[in-house]
Amino acid sequence: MARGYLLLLKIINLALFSWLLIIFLTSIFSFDAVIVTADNEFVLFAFLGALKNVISYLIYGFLFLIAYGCAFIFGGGFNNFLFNFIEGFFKGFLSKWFSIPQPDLQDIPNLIMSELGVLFNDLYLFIFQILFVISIIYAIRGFFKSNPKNYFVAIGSIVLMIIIPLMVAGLRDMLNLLSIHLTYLDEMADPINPIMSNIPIDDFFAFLASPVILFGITSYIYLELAFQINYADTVTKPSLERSDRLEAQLNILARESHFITANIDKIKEEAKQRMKEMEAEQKEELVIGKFFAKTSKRFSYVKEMIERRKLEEEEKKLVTAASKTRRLGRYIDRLFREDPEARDTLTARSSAPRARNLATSTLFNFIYRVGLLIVLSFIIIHPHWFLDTVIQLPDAITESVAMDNPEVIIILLLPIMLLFPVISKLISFIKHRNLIIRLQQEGRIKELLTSVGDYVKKEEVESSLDEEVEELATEST
Amino acid sequence: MNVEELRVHRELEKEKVFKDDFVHVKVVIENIGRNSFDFIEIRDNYNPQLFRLILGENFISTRIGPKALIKFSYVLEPKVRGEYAIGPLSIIVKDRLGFNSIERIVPDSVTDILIYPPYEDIKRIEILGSKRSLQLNYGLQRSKQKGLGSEFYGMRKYVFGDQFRLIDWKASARTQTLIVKEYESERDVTIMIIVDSSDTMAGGAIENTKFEYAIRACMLLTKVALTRRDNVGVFTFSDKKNFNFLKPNSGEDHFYQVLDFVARVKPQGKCKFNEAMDYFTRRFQKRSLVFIISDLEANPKDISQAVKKLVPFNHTIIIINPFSPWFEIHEIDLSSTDKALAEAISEEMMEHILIIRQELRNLGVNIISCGPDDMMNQVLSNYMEAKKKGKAY
Repeated sequence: MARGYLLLLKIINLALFSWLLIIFLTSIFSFDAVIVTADNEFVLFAFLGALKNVISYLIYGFLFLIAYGCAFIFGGGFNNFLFNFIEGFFKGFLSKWFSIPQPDLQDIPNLIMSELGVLFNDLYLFIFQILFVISIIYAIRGFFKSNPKNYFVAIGSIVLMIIIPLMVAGLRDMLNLLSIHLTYLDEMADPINPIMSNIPIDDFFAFLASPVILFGITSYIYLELAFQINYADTVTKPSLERSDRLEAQLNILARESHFITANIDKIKEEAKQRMKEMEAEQKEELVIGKFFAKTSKRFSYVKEMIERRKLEEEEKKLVTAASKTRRLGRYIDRLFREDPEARDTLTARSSAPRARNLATSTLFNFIYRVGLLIVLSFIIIHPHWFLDTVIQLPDAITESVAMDNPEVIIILLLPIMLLFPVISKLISFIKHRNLIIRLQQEGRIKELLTSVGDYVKKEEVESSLDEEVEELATEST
Repeated sequence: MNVEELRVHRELEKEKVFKDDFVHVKVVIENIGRNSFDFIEIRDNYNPQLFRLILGENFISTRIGPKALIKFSYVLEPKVRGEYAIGPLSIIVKDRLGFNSIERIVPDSVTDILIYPPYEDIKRIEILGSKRSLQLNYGLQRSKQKGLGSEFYGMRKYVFGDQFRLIDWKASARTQTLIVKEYESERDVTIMIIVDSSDTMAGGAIENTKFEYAIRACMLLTKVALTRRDNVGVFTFSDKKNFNFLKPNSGEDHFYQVLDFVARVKPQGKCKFNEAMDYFTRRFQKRSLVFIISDLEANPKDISQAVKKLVPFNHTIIIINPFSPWFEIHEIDLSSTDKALAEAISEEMMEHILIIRQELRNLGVNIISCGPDDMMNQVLSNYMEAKKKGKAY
């Protein structure tokens, strides 16, 4: 039942991820912009082509330089024939082989720089594709292995696909402010939909319905559900696995126990047979040891016993194992007869959390946290409403010009963001203090114990001293 | 997360168990509060050197709802005889995301368990007895005293002073000489088993020490002797602080008293033979069959003096000596150097035993050295022989 519940949660979460992707691709991110370049070429091919070009230019330029260098060294300064030959060879033959548009040596650095710009731009676009693939892979992995890391990577990759263009745009704006214009930066594609910057903050429902907020909330729900899945898995898995394992063990035990009971003579016979085989092997090995056995005739029993023991141990092991399995089988049979709940307690079947309880708990926690998140987001984004209506600050503050600045969000964002770490710190501080108090108490107890121990030791020492004195006295008499 | 709302306790199937038997341990967790615990981990601790986990697991990780009850159990096999503890129980409570956790040891969650010596030997004897259907051989025989009683013993020639009523006239007429009938009476025999519990007896592998074998021999002898309705008493000794005396008694219940008694004895302290025998003779003077089980790792003179103290009471003394090297040297996988060393040690020990044997020869006390394989047989055969010869009174 718990397994079914877990599977249901995973299916819901996968569906949620699909929905998240739909929101992302339809309203937030223009994936077409990262699939093909401005020249309508696939980014992957363009990227590989640019990479090839950069390497070709580098090799061509490097060879050109080496050839010039060699001509300079071996041609004795200025050998026009050699230089003309090299130029003719490189420009007429190698430049065509390497597909160099401008085969002059002085043009190569410019060619490399321009191709690097293309490569950088293609790489930028290619990263989005990689991130998208990573996200899909980890979402699928999350379905099979409920490790929160998988869900984090899946969501993190998508969020990164938003953050990277925003960072580039931010950098570009910042440089523009400083009147710095980088052509490559300006030419970089912006796959983010302009809707990102338009969040309706006046209407609560429009706020919720806006794609960005919807994406944010859905992402949170996805992670929240991922945590619930992880929790349900952590809580139910050990019990379920234990139950399966123990059931299998009990079945094997019952089967083996019956088999041994029915075939005990056969097992003993097998053990004896094995002992005989080993004995025969031992006899061959003993030839070398004969000298030792003869020379120390008096105490050869140790040697004999060693050899005998080796053989007996093997036989004993088999018979003991068989006998123990049979005994355990009988014991378990009796236990199950006498204690009807023993089977359930051994397999811990009764201790596995019930699916209904888990579902109730998950739902309750889920609604509570998602609700809290929506309310907090709304409060953070609407500081004016909150400060005016809930806290009821004076008009001089709420109606000030500062309240119209976007930075006012920080007023509530910071305290709310810091609230959880502060609470966490507080808890750890209290726990740490309690631990110190406990350790101090234990230290005192230890001191007390040590003092008592000394007392006991002293008594022991005194008594042993008395004994020694008595012994000496008796010996002297 | 109020851990105090969790009630955890352990239920043992039995608190007294034979070594190599099984014990079912059940742990019950109850949440008496109105809040659920999202993640709890309960672990029941036990010493793996003393117990072997046979089936189940001694821990559980789960969640517990409000007013809910959870049970889990496991099966342990005691490895060593003695009085040991199982526990304590520890609880770890975590929040749902695992950020916070509290760990507690459940107070008063240690349960003592008494491990008796293995029942294997006794069972073997019982099976042997039942197979032969000769309960008498292993049952109701008693030591007999010639002369008195009503049971026919035999015939012999008349000697001056014999009662006339004992003359068998028919047999006399047949043989033409006076023949008298002899009768015998049955007597309860008292067996005293004196076990050396000094620390030298604890040498060897923890499960198969000389002391463990001595206890097993003691238990076996008790069982057989009690089946024959003899009185059995046990005395364990090492130094002054470790003299334990169980006075002789008979009956089925007494077997369990002996079991309880020997299960609690630990091998510790120095071997003080002289003082031990002083104490013994003060506590017990009745003529009896005395088995002394000791490795005799003490001064030979001390030992002979100690045994001499028993002689005036007319005890029949049999010394069973678990020969140390046979118990302490692990025969398998010894290198040639180790084997040579083992032989040297054995030789030295054998010489020590020979000296003691020499000292005790005049007292008519025999020392029977034995190894782990034949110790039980030796003890039983000596007991049977003593009974047969009527040595035991």
